Amino acid sequence: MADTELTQRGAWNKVIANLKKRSLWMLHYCTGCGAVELPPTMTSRFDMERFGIMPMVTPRQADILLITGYLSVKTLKRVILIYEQMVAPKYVVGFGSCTINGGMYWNSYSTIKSLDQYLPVELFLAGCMPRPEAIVTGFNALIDRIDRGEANSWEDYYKNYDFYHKNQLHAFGEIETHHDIKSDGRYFGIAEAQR
Amino acid sequence: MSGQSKTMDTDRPAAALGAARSAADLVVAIAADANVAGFSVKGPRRVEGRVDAASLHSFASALRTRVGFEHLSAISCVDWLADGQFELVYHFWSYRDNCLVSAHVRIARDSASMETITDLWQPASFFERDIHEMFGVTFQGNTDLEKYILTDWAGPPPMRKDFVSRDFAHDHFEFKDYEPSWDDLVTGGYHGSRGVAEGSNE
Amino acid sequence: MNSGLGLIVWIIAYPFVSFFLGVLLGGYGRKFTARIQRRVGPSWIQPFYDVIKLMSKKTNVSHGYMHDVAMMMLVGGTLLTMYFVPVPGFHYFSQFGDYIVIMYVMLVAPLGMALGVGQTANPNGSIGIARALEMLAGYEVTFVLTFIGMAMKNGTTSMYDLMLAQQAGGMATWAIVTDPLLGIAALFALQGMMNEKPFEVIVAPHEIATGPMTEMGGKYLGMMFIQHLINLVVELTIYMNLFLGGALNWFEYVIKLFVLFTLVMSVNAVYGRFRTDSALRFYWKLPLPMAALGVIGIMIRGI
Repeated sequence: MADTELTQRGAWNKVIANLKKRSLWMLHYCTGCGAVELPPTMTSRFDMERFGIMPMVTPRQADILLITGYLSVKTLKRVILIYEQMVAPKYVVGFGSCTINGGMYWNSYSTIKSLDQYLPVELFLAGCMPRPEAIVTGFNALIDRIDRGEANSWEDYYKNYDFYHKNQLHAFGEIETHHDIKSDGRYFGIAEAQR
Repeated sequence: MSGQSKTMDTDRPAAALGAARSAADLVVAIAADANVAGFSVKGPRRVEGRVDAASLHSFASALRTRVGFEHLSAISCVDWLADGQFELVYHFWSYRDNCLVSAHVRIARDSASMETITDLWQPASFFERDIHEMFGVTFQGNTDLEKYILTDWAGPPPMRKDFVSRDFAHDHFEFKDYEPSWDDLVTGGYHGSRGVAEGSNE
Repeated sequence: MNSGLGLIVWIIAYPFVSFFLGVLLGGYGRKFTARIQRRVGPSWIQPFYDVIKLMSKKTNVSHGYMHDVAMMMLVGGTLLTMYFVPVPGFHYFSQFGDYIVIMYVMLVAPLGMALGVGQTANPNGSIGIARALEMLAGYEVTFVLTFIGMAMKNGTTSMYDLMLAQQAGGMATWAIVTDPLLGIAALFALQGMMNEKPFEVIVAPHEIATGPMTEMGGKYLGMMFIQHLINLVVELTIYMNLFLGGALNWFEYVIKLFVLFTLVMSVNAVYGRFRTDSALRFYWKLPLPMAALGVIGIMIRGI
């Protein structure tokens, strides 16, 4: 991601990014035990809604997919289904130590250790689990990244689909998602990277 | 026992004790009657003992119908690697007498197989499927031994003692080479391949 | 604004003005609810950011031609209703139509939504649409009765004439003062029309995954949001013109809009959600007989 590409964003894109960052909707799908820190963040004390972040219930309406905590292989299969249903631009936030390097369940036979092998991750939040103050700071960091135009990891899924798909197959085998990623990538003009 | 077990007054602990002891004695008597050795009363509400694999079904049936142990609390499995045996423990509870009976059954570890008790308690199939998935014990007579916990699992039954979870995790998953520096206060320090989070205080 | 160049300019500008007012109303509603819940709440123009974000989505999932067309029908139906409702300074289309036209044109939007959501073939959406149409049987009957009452009382079905009559007589001639039964029954119906709690069952986020909005993402949801915001303005204006004397200048119009919306949001903030059958039973037990009594009262007094 060269800096020259970023500074050459047109004025229109900068304005849109500035407006877009003020309204992010997270998918209220609590994948693991880290999700227990989300209700305090949404309610009166820490009030996430003042940043424009609201919980939404279906993947089609959400921008942020929060992987809160450990992700077992069984859940990963469903999370891939959900991720592919989301409408781009979309941001995956790895929440908690388990998504970074296995966390507390590092020696378990059925949880994945490193989330960014299966999905392109925008941001990791360390902690077991991160407190609402950390969540709010993390979301602010995400908002800043969107503002600067760096939050484009969703394109990475189209560009490097072979890499992600290979890891997904290795983890849980074949799955029918009704989304043809390669042809979608060509349709939206995202070229595949030459690896 | 039927006269003593329904007291509901302040005498209840003593009466329950008395009732439990008589239920326990009854259990021990049934065990002796069914030619099952080694039952003993461990406390006012606990009876424990060993049962043969072959006699367990009739023992459980007798417990249920003659002594009133209507509740199957759980079936659990212990892996005795050194002895080459699995130990299935059946926990039965009596609502009337507040007494727990745990029947320990030893079966051979290789091609482990045991008779099912789902004809007595249909929900026992839940426990039997769990033990089948996690230990590899086949329950004869249970037609519904489908996987429900590890639905995409292709490896050996993971709760066996000779399955080392850490080695399996190292073989099948890749870890990051990750040395965080805790100097940056907020979110700095992780410089992995994706998603560098720059804190808002820069 | 009712003829010549002013008319053309206003016809083009009117949807944007309505959208702008809708954004302010929507943001005010969310801020108000947040303050009741002792939170800070989002920005005052948060719905604007939401719409911008939705319309700037880069991928869209369409479920077919009918899905696309029906979304346009949804927004188009609401815009059409908007043009017939008189606002301060603009009542050009009132000469071509009146209450009756407004009443049936108002139903084009839900019909469009039903068609589009049916095309997405998501069971949550179908449940949501079924509930929406059931709720229509509740509040729409009450609202139509109040319309009929006002028409009988004034001998005219033109909303503009009714507004003028109320403005001329001052606050004592407002329909909510002279016919309180009709006014209050219409308030209940308004709460249902705007899908605010306790009549919010068609959305029901955690039960049926927001009902009709389930499969809408990106630009489709953006269109639904735009329609929702303009719909807020249109429905509040209809009620205001009928029962609160309408408005002949923009200052009075905006004040009345916000006061009425505050009442609606206050009820929304403290109630839970009625089930569809409970809501229907409620509508047929309380507001509908109230409206019927009001109409009978007008018949006895007037004729």
